[in-house]
Amino acid sequence: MGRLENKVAIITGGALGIGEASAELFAKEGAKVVVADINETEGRRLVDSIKKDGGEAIFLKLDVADEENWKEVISETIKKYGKLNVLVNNAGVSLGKTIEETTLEEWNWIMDINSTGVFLGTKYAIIAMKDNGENCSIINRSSIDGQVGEWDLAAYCASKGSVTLLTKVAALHCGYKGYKIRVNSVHPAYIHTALTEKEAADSGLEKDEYFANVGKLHPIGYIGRPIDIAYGDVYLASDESLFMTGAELTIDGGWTAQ
Amino acid sequence: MGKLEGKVGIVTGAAMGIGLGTTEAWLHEGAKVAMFDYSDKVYEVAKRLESEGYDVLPFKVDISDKKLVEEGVQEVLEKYGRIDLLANIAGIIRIKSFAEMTDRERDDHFLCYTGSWNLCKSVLPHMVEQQYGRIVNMTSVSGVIVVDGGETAYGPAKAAMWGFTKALAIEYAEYGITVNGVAPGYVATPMQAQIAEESDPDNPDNVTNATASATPLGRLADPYEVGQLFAFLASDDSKYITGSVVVIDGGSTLPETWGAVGV
Repeated sequence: MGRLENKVAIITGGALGIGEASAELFAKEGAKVVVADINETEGRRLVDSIKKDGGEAIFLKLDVADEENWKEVISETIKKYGKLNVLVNNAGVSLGKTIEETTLEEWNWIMDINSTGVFLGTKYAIIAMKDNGENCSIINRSSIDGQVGEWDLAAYCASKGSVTLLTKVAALHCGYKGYKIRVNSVHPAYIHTALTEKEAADSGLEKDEYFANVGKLHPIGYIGRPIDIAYGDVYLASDESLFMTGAELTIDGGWTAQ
Repeated sequence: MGKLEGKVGIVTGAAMGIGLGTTEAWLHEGAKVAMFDYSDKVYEVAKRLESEGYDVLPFKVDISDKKLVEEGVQEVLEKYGRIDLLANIAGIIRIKSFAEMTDRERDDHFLCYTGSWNLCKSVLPHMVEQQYGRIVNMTSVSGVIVVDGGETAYGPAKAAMWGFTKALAIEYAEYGITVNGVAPGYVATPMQAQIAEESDPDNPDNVTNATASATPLGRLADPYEVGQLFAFLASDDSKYITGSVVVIDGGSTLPETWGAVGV
């Protein structure tokens, strides 16, 4: 029996990268998965592949910064699967710019997706979950950059820092209200995804050399894979972590311990 | 198939509380467990676990004694041939004013650190040889995140475990060994019952109930739930996690305004 049997989960940014790994692992552990992403082509490809492997999944198009779109995705989820147990607010974007270089437009773009997107998802998920009587879990993708600063990631760090604290506020709220909803944040370091592939391409180095260099920045000596984060998501989504709420799960190869 | 199938682990403080919860969680995930504890009770508990079909090896051992620890570790190696996992859980707590706390009591609290030190000294060379190991250290939300009056010995001892965990993690990362910490809030253990008893001898339940209602999730943790976190951090699911201290407190360290909002 899977660790997420009988759970219905929405994973935002679920089509590629870390979200894709989580969607696949959630399905393997028995969850019914809603792959919610702005990228329809990749999202549908992933759903087909999950189904081919015997899992249960649907694709719903979602722009996480769009409030009406959130309401639709949640109501479609409940229409299809009858309830919502887990939301992984995974969608995110990054921008390698200092505070002096960042334009207001860029700041708003990062904040809309990384911060407002998590706010909207958390809010509407709580509303959908609070009366279903089952154990529910919201997992917010922060970053080590939601715990420590990086000089050339101004808007990104600010957005991820907001996720760290919004998580704690939402956890407290659910506790006060007596809802069976836990809210935790997950903090990856660099992970080998399309996002960091792009950073590699921008660096001017050979891809392998770039990833080897980045890997060495982590005490563990190599760059993490999306599956390393997906396992953390499964732990927090499952009933194995029923006493964890408002907590930070850091998955960073020792980066922030130094 | 369990997450720890084929693995051999040592748990200290294994006869009760979170040590026992961790022993059980590891066994359920398929590990074999050497149970270290200072009390004779460890043999009785091991007997029960054996009768349930689990593979355990009990030791009565004072982990502050380096020589005894080394002997215990050698016996584990003789029996199982390897040590993959180590949970440093043994520790004590006394809630007392600073004025009343003796120097001896201060040193006793630091057993959690010196005992873990001794275990790591004995076990790590084997893990390095294997190029594989998972060490999970017990700390607490007390010491680094919060601390209560009466914890002038307990808080610093638990804070030491945060630093020990991170420094070891960095030194051993290159050998395929991860080192992480678990920081629980309130857990329904014999130690917690003892605190309640000491705080209000006439009505210890009042203390426990007040603790539960001051925790956002409204209850204390079951030791087994904390054991499940030890199992996650001992498994390959967490192979990219090292140098982390994971808080499992039902939200108890979150609120700054609990009283102020009248909840």
